[in-house]
Amino acid sequence: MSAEKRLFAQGRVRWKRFAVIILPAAAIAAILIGLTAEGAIAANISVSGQQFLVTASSLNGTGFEQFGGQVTSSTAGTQPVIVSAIRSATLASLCQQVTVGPLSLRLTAGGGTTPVSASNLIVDASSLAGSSATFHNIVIGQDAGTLTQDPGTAGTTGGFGEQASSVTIENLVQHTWLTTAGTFTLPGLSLGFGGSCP
Amino acid sequence: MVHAPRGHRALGSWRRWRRTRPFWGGVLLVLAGLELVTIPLSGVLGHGAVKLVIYIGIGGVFGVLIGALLIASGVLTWTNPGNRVFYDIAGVVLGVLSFPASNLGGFFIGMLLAITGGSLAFAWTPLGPASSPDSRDSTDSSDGNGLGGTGAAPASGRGTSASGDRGHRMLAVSAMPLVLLAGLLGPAGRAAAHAAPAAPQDCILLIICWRDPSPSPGPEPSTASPAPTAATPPPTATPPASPGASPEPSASGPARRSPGAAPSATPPGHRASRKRSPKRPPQRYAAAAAGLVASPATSVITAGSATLHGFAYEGVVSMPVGGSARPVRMMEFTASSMELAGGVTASVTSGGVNTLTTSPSFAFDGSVVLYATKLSGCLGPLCVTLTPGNALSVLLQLASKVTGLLTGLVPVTLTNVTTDQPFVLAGSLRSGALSLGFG
Repeated sequence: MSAEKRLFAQGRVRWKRFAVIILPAAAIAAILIGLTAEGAIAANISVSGQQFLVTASSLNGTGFEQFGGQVTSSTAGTQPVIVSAIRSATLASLCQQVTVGPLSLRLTAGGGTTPVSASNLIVDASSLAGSSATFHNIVIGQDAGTLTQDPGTAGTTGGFGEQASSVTIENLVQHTWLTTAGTFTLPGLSLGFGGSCP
Repeated sequence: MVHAPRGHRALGSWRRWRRTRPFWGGVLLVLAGLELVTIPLSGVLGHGAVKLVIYIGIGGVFGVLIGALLIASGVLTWTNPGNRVFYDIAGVVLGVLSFPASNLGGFFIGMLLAITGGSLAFAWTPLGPASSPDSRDSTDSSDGNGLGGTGAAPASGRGTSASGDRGHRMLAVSAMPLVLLAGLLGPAGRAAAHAAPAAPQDCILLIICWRDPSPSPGPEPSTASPAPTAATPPPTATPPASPGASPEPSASGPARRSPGAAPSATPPGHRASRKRSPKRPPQRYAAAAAGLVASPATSVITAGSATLHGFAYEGVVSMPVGGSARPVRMMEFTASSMELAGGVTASVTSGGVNTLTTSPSFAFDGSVVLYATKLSGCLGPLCVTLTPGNALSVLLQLASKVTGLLTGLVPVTLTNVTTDQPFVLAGSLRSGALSLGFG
């Protein structure tokens, strides 16, 4: 009888108990957010699936590779992408616009003196533009399967690839399908709804 | 007539099911998990792009893992409310951890849902008809189960009165986030103290860290190897350059090796040479036609004009091609600098997809080496096309010293330049407004 009752006992939320758990959790979350916004903690970013916009006033990277890739879509056939891999990159005034369901989110960081830094950055873009670009020790036309500047990342054999020991792109604008980075430090992080990247 | 009561009964039992467990907390936990999983995986699920998984790597795996665990904790909160304290604290902790580990907590949304949902479910307490001592006891023992791993309080408190037990439990619960905080702040504080630890170090959940696998084969070899590689290339650089690279003074020598070993003085080169030095001895690297592999993709660079300094045709080389056993014959040109202007277009066609790179200008500098299967352009009114072995190219090769000298003094400007299958190495490339896309 008591077991039966226990099983079907109705309950309610006890708000004191709620506060006991949510307040410390919120405090820790706030500290984590604060540390991330100061660039002390690196965050893990990996977004895929929808076209989104990434802009930065300047990108500096070492260990740069670029090659063609394809995203096979079940609905729209193959979707060509330009894959850029940068072993270690800094981005000034990064702005990333993502759509999560019905929400349009705009993430900005690195607007101050300290830029955003990312390691093992891989971006699949459908288009890429910059107001100017500088590459050092560049190789254009290398087989994509034999690229070496970003160890662990290479395209498919037979593809067209290029690589450089360092890269600088000013006023970068990319429409990307996928962004992923081992670690992202995001000093001056802010997140807003709506609006668009410059 | 018959269905109506049944429907009522179904509604009633659904309501009872909902009210006898922390339903809304579980809903929020499941939603949080779904949101966290969606961001890294929607490309994979929505587009069937399995290849994306490879790129997503460890970061995406953690995003997915945290999301999956949140879904599990939400569902288990429903199906097994007796152990809800464990599931819900796990849910709150996972929600907090999702901030650094999974796209800033699914851009905050998933994190907020998880923390709120976990807290709501945790705060849910059974009462009602069977309330007083009976149900209180039962919740206590079930809560004790959940907290068993976190502290000794429930175990020791089980024998004591219910109220004392509760006090202990609350203490343990509120102490737990503090423990977590300490655990998180430890490594984080250290990371901050390191002042931007640019060293490639990957951390999971800020607690487990390891050095990046590729440089790891040893800090000692890596620091040791640059010295030998920096020392060796110069001697090996000139002799094996013979196949196609006639004695273009020192400048072109290193450039041919530039993808990895050449700029051994610069930090990026360091890394590359360190990486490959244990694998490939410098001799083998230089002994191949150029140690390079061309892409078989169809590619053409066109430019309105090309201004060449110190330009020379070095002859035909046999260039290995990726994915093919047969090397291809390519012409090798060297220049101390090469400026393409008047609208540069690089078109690459591979697998039926055409990638276009456009820019008003490309300025290659620092010992440029250009390989191509065909090069055409106009010198004033005279338009020429060079292919490996055609009469003009043979002539040009014989005069390479002269052309090198002459264009070293007076740069030559070609117009309407087209290069087929270009393969370019250069110390640097400066481009004007750059645009890459598909056309």
